[in-house]
Amino acid sequence: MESIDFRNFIENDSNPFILFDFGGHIKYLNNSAEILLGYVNPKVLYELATEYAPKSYGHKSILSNLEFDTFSFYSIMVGYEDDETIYIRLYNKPLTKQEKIVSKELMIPTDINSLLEANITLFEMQSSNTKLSLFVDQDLPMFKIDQNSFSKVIRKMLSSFKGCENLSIDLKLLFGEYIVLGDTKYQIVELILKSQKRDTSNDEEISQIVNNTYLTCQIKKDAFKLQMPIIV
Amino acid sequence: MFFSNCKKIKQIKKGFELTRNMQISTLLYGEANIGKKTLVKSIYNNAIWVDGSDLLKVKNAFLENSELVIYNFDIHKNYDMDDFNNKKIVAIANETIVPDYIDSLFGFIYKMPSLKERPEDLDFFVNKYTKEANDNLAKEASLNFDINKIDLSDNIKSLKIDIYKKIAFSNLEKNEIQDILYDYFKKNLNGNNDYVKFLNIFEYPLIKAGLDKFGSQLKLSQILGINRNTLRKKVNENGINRF
Repeated sequence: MESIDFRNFIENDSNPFILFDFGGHIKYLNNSAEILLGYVNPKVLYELATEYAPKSYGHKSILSNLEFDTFSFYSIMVGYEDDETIYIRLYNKPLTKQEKIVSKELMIPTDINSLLEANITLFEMQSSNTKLSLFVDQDLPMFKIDQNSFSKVIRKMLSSFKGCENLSIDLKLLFGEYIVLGDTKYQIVELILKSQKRDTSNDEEISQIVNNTYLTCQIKKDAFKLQMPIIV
Repeated sequence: MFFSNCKKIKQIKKGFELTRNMQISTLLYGEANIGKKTLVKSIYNNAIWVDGSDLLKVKNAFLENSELVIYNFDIHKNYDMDDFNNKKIVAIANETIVPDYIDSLFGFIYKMPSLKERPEDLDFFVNKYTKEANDNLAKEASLNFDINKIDLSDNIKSLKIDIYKKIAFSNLEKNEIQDILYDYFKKNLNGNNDYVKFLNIFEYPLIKAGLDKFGSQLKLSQILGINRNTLRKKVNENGINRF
């Protein structure tokens, strides 16, 4: 049989693949792994590989839910055929693609800082003892959002931090990352609300509102990460 | 003009001002007569105002306007969420609790504190209505009473009535009191034993004010020129339990 170079298939596989040497240094990683390593320390993945490595030479698959920032995996495979190298491959959790049909008519150019400030003022009325750390970019451009839905989302998100000792609010423009809507690439403004813990009872409702907008939201036990495309 | 020293109300006003030019629906709720309409009027005086108790009017107003203030907003009616999107709606409701489903209509929901919850505003309203009552009733009374004893059961409305009554009844001449009593007796005399029944109308304020002013029954009996035992008996009959 003719020899085939499979390296290119691995290189472009959407599942991250990393090959470590015996000291934990990366010898090879594919494109997906390169993106993943922007969010997770390679040491964490090396430790994962050594922890789940098969007892003797070979390959082993483990079903386990893993989450690194926005990345979700349902399984890993770890293998080695000599004492010099070990690899780990992480299998992406399948996502259902949702085509969001959102009317742009509802979207109005908005000063995001003013809208956020109004929401924070409301939150301060309800949770006056929560210490706020605010990091916002006052130079953010006006961009189009559905103001009513956005306020509902922010109000409900902030409300889940009611009674918390402190809350950090971080609003910034992301560099080098984009959201593609239709045929157009948009820059992203990201809002992160984070504390030690929060009330998670309204999370489903928050997801539903977000799903009807151009917003994307990552919901964690202690934080929300809301991303908005800069549509001008 | 809207005025408040209350921190929470200042925050509500700030929220309204920050979103003045945004297409956001806002609900302001709280007890009746606490200044909700005055607050909204200070910001949305030129908007279309519609009475929320007439649902048909409200529905039509939704169709015709993109900026609308709905007072007497009825939170128990069914509304279409689309009516609240992409519009500037300010709804004012005389409620102390709002149900969860209302939550989905509004970008902002503010609860305005009642007058009882903001003692820092009492001085302002007492002074305002004292001046107003003096002007309207052609009086020049300066009220000197315990601010904590003002009737706040119906917030600004009961406070205003209380002050108007106090101003109206201050510095009455004897013949004015007699006129008031004349009208009262004419309306209410209707029994067999009314002399005794209505006697306490004189006796109660006379003895109560006397005791408050002179401090002891002994002194008061001298002032009134009646026997101490008689005074004690009348104190008991009128339920004045100061001593």
